[in-house]
Amino acid sequence: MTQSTQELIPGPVRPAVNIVPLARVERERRLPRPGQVRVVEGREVTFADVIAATPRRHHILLLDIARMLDVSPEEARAALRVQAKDRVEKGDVLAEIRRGLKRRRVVAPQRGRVMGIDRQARLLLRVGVDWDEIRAGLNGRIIRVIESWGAVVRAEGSYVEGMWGNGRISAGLLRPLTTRRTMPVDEEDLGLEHRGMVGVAGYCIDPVVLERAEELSFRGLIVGGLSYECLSRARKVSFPILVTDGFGPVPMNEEAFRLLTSAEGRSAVVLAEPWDQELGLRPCVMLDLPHITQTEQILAGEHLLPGQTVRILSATQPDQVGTVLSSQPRWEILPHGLRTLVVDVRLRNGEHVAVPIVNIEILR
Amino acid sequence: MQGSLVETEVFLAVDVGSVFTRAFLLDGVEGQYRLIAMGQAPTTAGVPARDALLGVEQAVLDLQNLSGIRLVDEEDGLIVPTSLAGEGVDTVIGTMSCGRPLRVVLMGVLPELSVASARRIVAGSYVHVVETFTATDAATPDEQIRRLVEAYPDIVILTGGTDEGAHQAVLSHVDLLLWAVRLWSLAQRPWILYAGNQALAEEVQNRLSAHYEVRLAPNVRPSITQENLTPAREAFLDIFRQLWAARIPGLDDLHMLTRGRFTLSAYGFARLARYMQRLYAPHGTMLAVDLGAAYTSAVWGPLDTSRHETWPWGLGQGLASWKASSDFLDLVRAWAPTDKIGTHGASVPDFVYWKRWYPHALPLDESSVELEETLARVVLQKVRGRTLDSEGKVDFIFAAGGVLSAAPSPQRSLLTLLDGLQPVGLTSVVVDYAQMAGVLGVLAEVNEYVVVQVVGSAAFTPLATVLSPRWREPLPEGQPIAEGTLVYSNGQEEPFVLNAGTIQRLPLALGRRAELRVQPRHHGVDLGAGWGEPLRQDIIGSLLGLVIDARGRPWTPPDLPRQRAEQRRQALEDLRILHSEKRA
Repeated sequence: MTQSTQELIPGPVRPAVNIVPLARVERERRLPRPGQVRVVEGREVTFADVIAATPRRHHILLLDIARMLDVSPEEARAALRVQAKDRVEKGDVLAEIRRGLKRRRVVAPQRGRVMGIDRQARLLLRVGVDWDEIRAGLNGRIIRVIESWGAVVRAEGSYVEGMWGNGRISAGLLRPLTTRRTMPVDEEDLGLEHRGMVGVAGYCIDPVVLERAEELSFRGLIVGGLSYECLSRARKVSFPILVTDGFGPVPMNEEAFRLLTSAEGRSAVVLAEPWDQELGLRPCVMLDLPHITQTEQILAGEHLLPGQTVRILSATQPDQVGTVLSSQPRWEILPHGLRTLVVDVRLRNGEHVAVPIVNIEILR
Repeated sequence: MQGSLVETEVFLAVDVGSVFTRAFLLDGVEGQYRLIAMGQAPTTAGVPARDALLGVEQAVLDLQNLSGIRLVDEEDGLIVPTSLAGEGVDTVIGTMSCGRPLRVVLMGVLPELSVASARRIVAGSYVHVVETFTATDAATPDEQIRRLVEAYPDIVILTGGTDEGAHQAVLSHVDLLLWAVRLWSLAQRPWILYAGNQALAEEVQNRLSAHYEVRLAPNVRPSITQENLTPAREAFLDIFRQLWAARIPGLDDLHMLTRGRFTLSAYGFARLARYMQRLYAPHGTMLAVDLGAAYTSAVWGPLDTSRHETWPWGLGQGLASWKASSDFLDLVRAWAPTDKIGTHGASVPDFVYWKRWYPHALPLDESSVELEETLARVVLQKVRGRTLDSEGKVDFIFAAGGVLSAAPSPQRSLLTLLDGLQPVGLTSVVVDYAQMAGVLGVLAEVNEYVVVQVVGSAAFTPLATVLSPRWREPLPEGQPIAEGTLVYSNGQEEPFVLNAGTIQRLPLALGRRAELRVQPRHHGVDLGAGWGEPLRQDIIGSLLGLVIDARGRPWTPPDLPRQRAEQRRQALEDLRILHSEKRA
């Protein structure tokens, strides 16, 4: 149904959480600060390919050539054998001077690149760089390069977004660890048959599970909720952890659990980078599909419409999903006195509630 | 002076916060400027909208609906100026606090002079000072280059040298910046604001402008004894606005809409706070706190030497700044009235993490409100640690921020403030219920009458006058520590006894005045006037009147969550019931 045939609820669009079986994703991949883009438009990429990088740490040496040769800066400049941008190997002569029979030299202490020389004949030698790299994150094609920042990757497949990720990216075959979305995953649920898999579970509240998963060389873990007690361990493990719904013993939403558990054995890329709320980039999992004919583009948000499935954001009552009923939002004063714009929602248990529109995420 | 009662203007003030955008309509009513209405909408600076102007439009439409005054024409344009039919507004001003903090590097000659001035240029704004360089820096030149390059600043503030004073130290920092050029790509280069020795300004400009965007401002320290911050601060703000506008679509449009009267919310808040201090404690000390979702601002101290700082702490996105601090979570646990949350039995830290990712979600039940108030208490404690001295004496508290302004009751706002800040002595408390402190501070530049009159209206009703004694030795609960009398202007007297461990409330209605006389029972009690000293002071009426917080200082909550919940319930009950009703 198109928006024109229904009444739009006025107000800004609401954020959407995409859980789409056949999705076309165009994902912006950005460096934390400007750097070098290492891909070109049209290139096929796998999730692990580095597409852009920016220096994090420079290993540099500032060599005072005049002092090292014990001459004036002018003489030192005349003695230079290299210039800015030159690459040098360890032992290469940087400057040389003859005084009668005596010859003095300054040689490169390490392999590197001359980054500049100033009027005082000080030479800046860069001997190494540690990079912050950004990977493609998905298997797909580069459709646009963002100069100095990164690129947009287009990928197709089943797609599920989450709300927290531990910063890792990997891929493996999907394997459910719990039979129900409301069940926690226990250490005993993880056996040798899960080695190298991407596990899917209701929620995780036991850090030991993460240790066991690490021992089993997990390629990923997708859970509805993750407790605070697990966060420290979650940040240390080598595999990606994607949280779909919240913190604590929070079940996975039905839509995500159904889609993920029905895809057992399929290859999944888990892009568990932290949620960038400014750019609207959520951590996600993408399942490869062999042949896709028709796909739906994912959206970061859309107007609220009656009939939409929505998730209600509540710290104390998670796992509330319902259907928008109102054709118009209205102002209401909440029990604790705050006046806000609400819409009516029918929860899955049949209960009707008025929900502030700011507490709504659309489940697509 | 601009503006008068004869020629009243209609003002639209817009505040783009990190979670909500608010629009305020101010107009003359019976010869006095008043807040007519406030409209609100979610901020749209981030995804999915990525246009801050959309949130402003929604907030203005909400304002139009609420006020019944037409503000927007058929083409969705704001009606400016007002029409003969009374539609539209005359002047628009705006504030913002919706972006990520900028990274700033400070350079100067001496830490206590030019660097201190550079720090004051950025004080109160949304920045993170990532590195500081002085002439006394002991690091080797290559180490200094590495530190500068890896700081990846957005702005470098270069100061140092009195006019015709130090040269070499300033030029060595110019050299440092020139080295950094070799390692930064074009897109990584920061803005440079030079506000040092004016004799070097041309040379600095000549050497740096080929590589950087350079702004020159008059020296912040023209002489050892002189400090001139204003021009450098204005230049800094202009750079700041340009950098935020480049990152946040829609901010440039707002700048145009407001004709440049668009600044940081924290600046407006500080300006209004100082104005409030002139009213409530011109010769005393103030602590003003604005508790936002992403940032917390505070202005504190005596009027003539007050300081202003903004920290990336808050009750939403600002919670991220504590992620490495287990101390913060321990404090939240220690104050929370529960240890299991909601139907699913999450922990208190689970809630903190949830709130950090969903700052815009409103609390939907009483227990969520209590948890948000708990977070506010802990952030306020952090503010106290950075602002008040160990005694904790403060004459005036001015507080802003949704968790306080939109609290379910004034008693809850007050209890959150008292638990968090724990003032000592006699303190007047005002809360910004209209949530317009920031914009009002900016309006003060445009029309001072607006501020004077709106502050005098119900929007800024004083919340309470609080007497908070402290004592040296531990005392059993209920032990009398002082006797007092509230002598009303009509001669009527209300005697009372201060019992350790209690909170009580005495009536003093708005507009009334009274003299407070309190005599401690022994030398180990300080009522704010010194150990064992009596207190005698005129006080003014307020929403809650005189509140006596005799729980002692420092006050720590009970150990068990159940006890904390009961204590909070009792304290709120004590704040609701008047002393005279209790006696009856």
